[in-house]
Amino acid sequence: MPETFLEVGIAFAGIALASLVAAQLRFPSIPLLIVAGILLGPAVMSAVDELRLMQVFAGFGIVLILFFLGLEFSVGDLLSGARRKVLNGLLDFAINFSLGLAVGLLLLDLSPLGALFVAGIVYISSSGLIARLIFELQRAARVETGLILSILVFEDLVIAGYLAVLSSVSGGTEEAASFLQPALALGIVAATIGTARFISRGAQRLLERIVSDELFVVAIFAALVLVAGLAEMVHISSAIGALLLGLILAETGHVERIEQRLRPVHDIFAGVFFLHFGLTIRLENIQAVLAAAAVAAIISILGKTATGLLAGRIAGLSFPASLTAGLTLIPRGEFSIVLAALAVSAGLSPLIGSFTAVYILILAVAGSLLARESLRIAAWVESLRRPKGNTTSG
Amino acid sequence: MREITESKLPGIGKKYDLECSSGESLSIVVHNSGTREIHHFDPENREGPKAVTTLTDAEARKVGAILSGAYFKPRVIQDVELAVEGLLIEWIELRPESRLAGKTIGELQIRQRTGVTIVAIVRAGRPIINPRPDETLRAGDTLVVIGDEEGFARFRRFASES
Repeated sequence: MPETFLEVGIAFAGIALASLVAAQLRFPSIPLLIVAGILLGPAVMSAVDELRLMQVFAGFGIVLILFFLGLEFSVGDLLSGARRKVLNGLLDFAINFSLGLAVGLLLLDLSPLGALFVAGIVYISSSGLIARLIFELQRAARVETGLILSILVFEDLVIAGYLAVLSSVSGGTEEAASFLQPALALGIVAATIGTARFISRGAQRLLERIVSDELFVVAIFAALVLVAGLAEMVHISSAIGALLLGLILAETGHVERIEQRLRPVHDIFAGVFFLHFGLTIRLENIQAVLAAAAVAAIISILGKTATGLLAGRIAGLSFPASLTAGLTLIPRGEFSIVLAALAVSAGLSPLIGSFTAVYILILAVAGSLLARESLRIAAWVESLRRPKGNTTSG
Repeated sequence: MREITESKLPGIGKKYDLECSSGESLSIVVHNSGTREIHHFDPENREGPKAVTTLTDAEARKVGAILSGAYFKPRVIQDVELAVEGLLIEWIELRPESRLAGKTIGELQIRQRTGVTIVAIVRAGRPIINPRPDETLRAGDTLVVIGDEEGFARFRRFASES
């Protein structure tokens, strides 16, 4: 027992160090946290793993990530301009999900269930990373930003349902259950989104009474862990329980306060989650998936670029703006990792874990780079498409 | 002047677009973090801003006070604002050297001379609502003055005359 603190301390030092390097390099922290996990590796962390302490912390991480996904969700946002949003969203889904499915089945040679996970991993852009890029690059008022954000809102909705389905499929065991469970889970998520406004009234009244900040954070955290536990008890996975609670609380008008109070808790445990994900990855597996991840990354870049070009066209954006939208949608992040962690914990091929680690690392680098340079790239491509003047020289 | 349109940027914040009569347009983005950005668009290129200025919350409030249109208001207030167009309310602090200090409102004949009305005086943190003509103005008072633009121009001239 005396070394427990030391090992947890080393793990947290790894998290702090990775975050520091990320901040210094102005690079997204998620891939670096995973790299830190891989580097710390089983050698340092073996005793901790025995205690399963990091695993529990990582579980809190998933729960909090999904809780925040639910919390940031607004039915109002979703319904505003719904038809176009749905059209763009479906286009994005059709292109990138099927590419992901192909990657899973053909490139990684996985089982159909494994391929479904990979399809989700390839499909879902990182709304967190992209929102940060938009801020850093001062793109918020650009014409294509609305399109990008509407696609991300749709993706977050899809991933909520998709996580519900997959976590129930992989949690439940055999045939009969494997059809009913996902339908049930999806139904519960849909019903919660539909009725959140009404269910939330009780929560609203309750939260209004809590004046003390200390009580507030403790009460929310207790509710979160309890709901996660209850959800697990009825086999719809703790993550989805957390998501549902987030969806309900999103309608209470206390969203800002909840986010403000729980953000530090989220940051700590989400950090552990990403590091722990790295810990579960074996270096020798990485070599096996390196080529596949690189090919998948190129396919994904092309997929999102095509999405931007098509959706931009439909939305009436110019060619350069559409291309910029596509190039900005490339980074993958938190939800790809959540899906991969789910796949690994469900006992599917461990290749999915190492594939995803390499894949999001490549896309984090390539995605940030392409988003940064997207305006220049778009202008360059445009100049190729429409050479200045009509004379052909040489 | 055209309407300012408000749109939500999910995960980022809110955006307010204003098309100026000059043909240029401004987009003001209020990030969830409180950071504000002012994006300046040329008439020729509506796709991306020519220049962007980033302000902290505190800076934005100061700039807003200077511009004094202070258009960062929730939608509910818009109707009220239309009803009071042309009406200005200003808070004016009397400095010790002000010639108004030490005189009564009646003596100064502020309303007759300038057209603006002192509706309240804030003295030592307490309001004197609807002050009587025999109320003596003191250095350090904050006057809550109501009037129109010309009235305020006259008032400023009057206050600085010696």
